[in-house]
Amino acid sequence: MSAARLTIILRGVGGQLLPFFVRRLATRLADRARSLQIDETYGMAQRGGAVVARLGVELDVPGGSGLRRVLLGLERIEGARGVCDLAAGDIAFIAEGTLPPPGPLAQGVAAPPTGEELVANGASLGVEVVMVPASPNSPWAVVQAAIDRGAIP
Amino acid sequence: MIRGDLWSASRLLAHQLVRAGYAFAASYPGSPTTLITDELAELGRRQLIRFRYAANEKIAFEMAAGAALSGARSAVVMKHVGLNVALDSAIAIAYTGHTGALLLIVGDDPPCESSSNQQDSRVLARLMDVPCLETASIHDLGHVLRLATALSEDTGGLVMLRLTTALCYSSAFVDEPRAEAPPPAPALALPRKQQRYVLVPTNARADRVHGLRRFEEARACGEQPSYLEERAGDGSPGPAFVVQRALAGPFERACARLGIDPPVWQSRMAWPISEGPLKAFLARHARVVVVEELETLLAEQTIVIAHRHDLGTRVEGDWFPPRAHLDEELIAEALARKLGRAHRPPLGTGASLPVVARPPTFCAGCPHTASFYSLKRVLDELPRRPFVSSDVGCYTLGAKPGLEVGDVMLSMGASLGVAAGTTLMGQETVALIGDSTFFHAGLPAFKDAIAQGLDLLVCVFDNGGAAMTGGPMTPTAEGLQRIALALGAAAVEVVDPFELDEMRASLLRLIGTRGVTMLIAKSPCALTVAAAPRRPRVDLEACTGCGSCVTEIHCPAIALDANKKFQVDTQLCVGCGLCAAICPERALTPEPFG
Repeated sequence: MSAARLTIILRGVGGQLLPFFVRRLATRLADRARSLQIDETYGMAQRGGAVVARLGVELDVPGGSGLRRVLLGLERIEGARGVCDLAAGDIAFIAEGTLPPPGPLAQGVAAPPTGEELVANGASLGVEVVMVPASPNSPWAVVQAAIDRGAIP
Repeated sequence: MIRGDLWSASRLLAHQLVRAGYAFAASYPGSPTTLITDELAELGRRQLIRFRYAANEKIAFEMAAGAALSGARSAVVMKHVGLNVALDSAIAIAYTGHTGALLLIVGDDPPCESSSNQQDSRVLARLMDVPCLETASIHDLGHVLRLATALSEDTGGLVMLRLTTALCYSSAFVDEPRAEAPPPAPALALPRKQQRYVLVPTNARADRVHGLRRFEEARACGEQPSYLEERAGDGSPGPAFVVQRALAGPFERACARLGIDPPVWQSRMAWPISEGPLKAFLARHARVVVVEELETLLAEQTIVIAHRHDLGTRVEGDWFPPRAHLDEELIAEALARKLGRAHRPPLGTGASLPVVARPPTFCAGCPHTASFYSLKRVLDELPRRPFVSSDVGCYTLGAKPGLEVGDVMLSMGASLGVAAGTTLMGQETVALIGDSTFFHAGLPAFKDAIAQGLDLLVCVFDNGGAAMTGGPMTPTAEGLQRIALALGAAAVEVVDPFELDEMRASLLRLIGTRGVTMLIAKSPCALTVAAAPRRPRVDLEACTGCGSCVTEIHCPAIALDANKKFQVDTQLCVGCGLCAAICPERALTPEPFG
């Protein structure tokens, strides 16, 4: 049996339970993994800051090889920011809901990219972007969408 | 199949320390090592180890040194910049040696995610002439801890265990037990009447010789197989790699992605270099690439060894960005480019649609928000805006665009020393410092400012602890007030920053007072108090959409809706009431919630 690498990138905002979600996914994949590692970036993310977690898994799959990346944007702005982490052929699941940071968005003088814009931008880059009708307060819906789609085993 | 429990590397290390027989540990907290100390504190509460937070890293180091001098296995944990604070005593103990194991656990921050610099602690190990060990991953951690403990006890000298942000914030399944019992009590024997521990010049010169002997013993240990990892590779043409142990994981993953299996040499002894085994490796390869981040310690030594032994090996040092933080993507990209391999790199930042930055911000309900609201308004109203010397803590964010209260921030406690200098140059100055930072490194400079007869306002943001890095408690404002007055402060006032009128009046009063004055803005960290059972309700008729609520206080819970009317995220809001207090139209009313 050969191995394929799957990197799941979770991006969200402090308070969205991102560390809890990445551990749930790790536990889910542990039985099928040859190796598994979580890497987290907290910064000052007690509340309202950006949080990133990466779950790298080496999976036993027949004929498997190469690296596949899945982006889970638990909030639209951070999801949009995370598209740069992907390569052509990868897939992103991004929540429709936003948590605007203090500044131009909160003041209403700027707007985040819309779901349609994100999908179109992804398509131009060879990345499939799936918008998930989820609010920032129900971020597991994004994870579930990726599981339902088969992007996460 | 993976076995074991899902461990954070930091928490695992805390348990491994207890299981390895460490009886004492101390720290001043700082990212990336905060999860280690958080877990050590919990193990301390369960009486499995004696763990203490200290007022600063130097004191933490000295406490651990005292325990090691007593014969106990002892560890001290700090972030890399904390080692600068502890260095005076660390160099001293490197001279004297000690009885029990003494482990200096340092968390470096190569990506500079939560620090003021990218300092590489290997260089300080070199300066101190103490061995520095590195680990490849969470799976290697226990082995490295055993090596470090044995090394310290066998040589009687200090050992540095260098961790990185990537390691500290990594987690994986590891089949190791939790610490459940305290280690056996050590046989304590304090050294008495031994000249080597009294570092007067005569003894220091003699101790230097002994310290260098310990260092040479450590060097010899670093050549043992238990320190080394070497892989012959699959025999394909191409260079061999000398890889810094801390980068073993990203390097291995990058190679797997590219489908290459080159010869690789690594040592868990980052300093001194394991010269004999490295020389043997270099002798077998005509081309060698050094994979190393930040300082070029390993690369320089590899070149020196190749030349010293006339090996004829070509050491290539231009594969990676100089002195940069390296991760899997950067390594994979460089390997693919140099080796002509197909590679599917990430799209890069240019691929994302433009989105606003989400810089760190004060939490909803943070008392610093209220403090800076008043500070900014008062400072802006003065005929000549004072220079503002800020310090290290959450309140450093007061310098961010929009608030811009903070003209300089250098290091822990530096606000007061810098303020003294600018004041002596005739520039009216206000110094900002947190309660924890004041006791960390601000107190001597405060005393000095009084002794120098300066006119200086010192604003202390007292939220009851080192909120940014774990929350160990510091003396209360009442204690701080008494200390300031005892040292000769001209006036000290304690104010609740959410009482805006009082805060403003106090600021204006103290700015106009001669001598060194102190304003203590006292209110607990928002993360430590329960949310109030109220949320602001907006009167849509009264709300004019002026935006003061978002532009004046930058609370992450507040935004304007599509109609430019106030809206609040009731999940983030903790009901502090500041937005209602500053609304010029009185359109917001705190009301019961939930």
